[in-house]
Amino acid sequence: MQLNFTQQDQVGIIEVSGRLDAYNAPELRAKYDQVAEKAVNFVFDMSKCEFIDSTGLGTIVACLKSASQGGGDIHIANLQSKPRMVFDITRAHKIFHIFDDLEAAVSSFGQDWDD
Amino acid sequence: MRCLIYAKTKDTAWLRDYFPDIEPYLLKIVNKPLLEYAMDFASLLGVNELRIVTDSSTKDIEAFFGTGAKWGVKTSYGLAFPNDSLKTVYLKNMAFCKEDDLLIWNGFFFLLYDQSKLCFEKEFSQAFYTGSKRFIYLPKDFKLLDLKAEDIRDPECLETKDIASITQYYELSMNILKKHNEKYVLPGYSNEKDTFLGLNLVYPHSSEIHPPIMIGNNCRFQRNTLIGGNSIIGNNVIIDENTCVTDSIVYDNTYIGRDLDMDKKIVYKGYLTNAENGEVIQINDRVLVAQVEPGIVTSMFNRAVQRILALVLFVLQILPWLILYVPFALFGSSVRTDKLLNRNMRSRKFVDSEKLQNTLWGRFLLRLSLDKFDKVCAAAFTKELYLVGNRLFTNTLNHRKLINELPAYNPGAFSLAESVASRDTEAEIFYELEYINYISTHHNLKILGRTILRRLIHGCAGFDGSKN
Repeated sequence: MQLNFTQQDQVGIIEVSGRLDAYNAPELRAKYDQVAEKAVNFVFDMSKCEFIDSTGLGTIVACLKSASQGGGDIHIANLQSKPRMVFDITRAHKIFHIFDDLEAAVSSFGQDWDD
Repeated sequence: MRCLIYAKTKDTAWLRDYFPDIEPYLLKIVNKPLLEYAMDFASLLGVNELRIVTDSSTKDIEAFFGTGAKWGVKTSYGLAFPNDSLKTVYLKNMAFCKEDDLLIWNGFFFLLYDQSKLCFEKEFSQAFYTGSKRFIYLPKDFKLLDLKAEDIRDPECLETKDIASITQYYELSMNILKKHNEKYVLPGYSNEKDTFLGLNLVYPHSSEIHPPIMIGNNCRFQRNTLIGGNSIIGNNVIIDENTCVTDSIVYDNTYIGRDLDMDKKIVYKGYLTNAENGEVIQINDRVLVAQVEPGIVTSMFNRAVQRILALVLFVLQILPWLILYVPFALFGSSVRTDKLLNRNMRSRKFVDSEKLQNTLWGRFLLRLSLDKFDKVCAAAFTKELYLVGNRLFTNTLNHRKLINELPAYNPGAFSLAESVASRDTEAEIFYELEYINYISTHHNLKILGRTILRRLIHGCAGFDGSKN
């Protein structure tokens, strides 16, 4: 798994490539902890993430919890069809905002979600 | 009439991504293997001899159908060269084909039919073949090579349905479950319309089951689960708490974790497929979906721990056993019963705790678990038994069938069912499934401790599989 961190409009973007499973989920957590001070809101770009298991999902949820405690949020972008199935069956789509476009995910922070 | 089934693998390559270790022609359509529908149809038309020819191994198919006695159709098997054409297969089996009227079932497809409308005299009066040459009828003395273009005909009461993708498979299964379930002989009993339930189904009051639904044998749904409608659940399936399964197919020996929402999914052991677009992931995640498998039961560490504990128990029990049990055995009647040691039906006589309960002295021996001494010896000094394992079943026809349905059978001197004092014979296989699925060395120690303590305090034997 590869993790790349960039920043855009004060939003931290973590690009996740490869498999996010029990073996390498701690790497994501470590990366998030490392960059958590640089931004409040984050987007996890999952365009190159081909697999996610319960531990991987649990780690993203743990990151969300951590972000929420600091007054921030995590959005998910470009979720591919196989990982999406895991979000689907675990009902994780009810706790994350999921976007099919990275730019939209980044620019969505601070917007009023209610009509 | 005779029937020739050509089970060619060319049509089934796509199945490997979704059901990698299933013989394609035994793939279940609404909990019943595809070929069994063909067998049922042949039986319905009065076919008395049937031959299944395949260009892969016939082992699994032969193991399932055997001689065909269950269907009243004498069944034989043949092999073809890979990618042999139907004509070649026909020629290779000419001796079989030429003797009588012949039905030919060619490849991987499903035959939709309504047995109440099937009119044999009208539909099978002359040679014909369906559009795709999937289904062919040849009267005696009429050769396959003699079929002409004008013989093409799709009988009114028959319709061939190709199964060429996972979405077609899903749609076909749901279609039969929802609309055509009365036209076929389907497994399970049904006391409500569109509801088919297998044996040993266990679910709490907080669990909901909605039709149309088909549930296989030995399934357990935990509390607050919602199953159905439009769902097909195979044999030996465990669905954990707060999980919803709707519009889905769950294959045999599958565990589905808690708090999940399975909608329009196909789950086969650790494979999760989106039924709408055919996307599949191999996940095998104990928190999400996984195969119900023996796991730690057979691990080296578990075996070593069990052996050491059995030796300790042997040392602790030998003196009380010599003093208290041996005189009882010398002067009392026989309290031994034949128990099944493995799936090959190997058996051995052990002390039966149910029989010991009949006498005061016997009940005293039960409190000290001295009835277990011979089993503890077997666990300590032989490989026949574990100290803690599956329930040691009595050698009866029902139990012989039952242990063959389990994903694994590793009997032990102590078992989960005994530790919870279960006497519910309906739920007996469920405890074995639960043991197989959740087992760990820690769990084994809890079972052992709980059983010995419960016996010491309450003095009853609990259910140990001695009932029929």
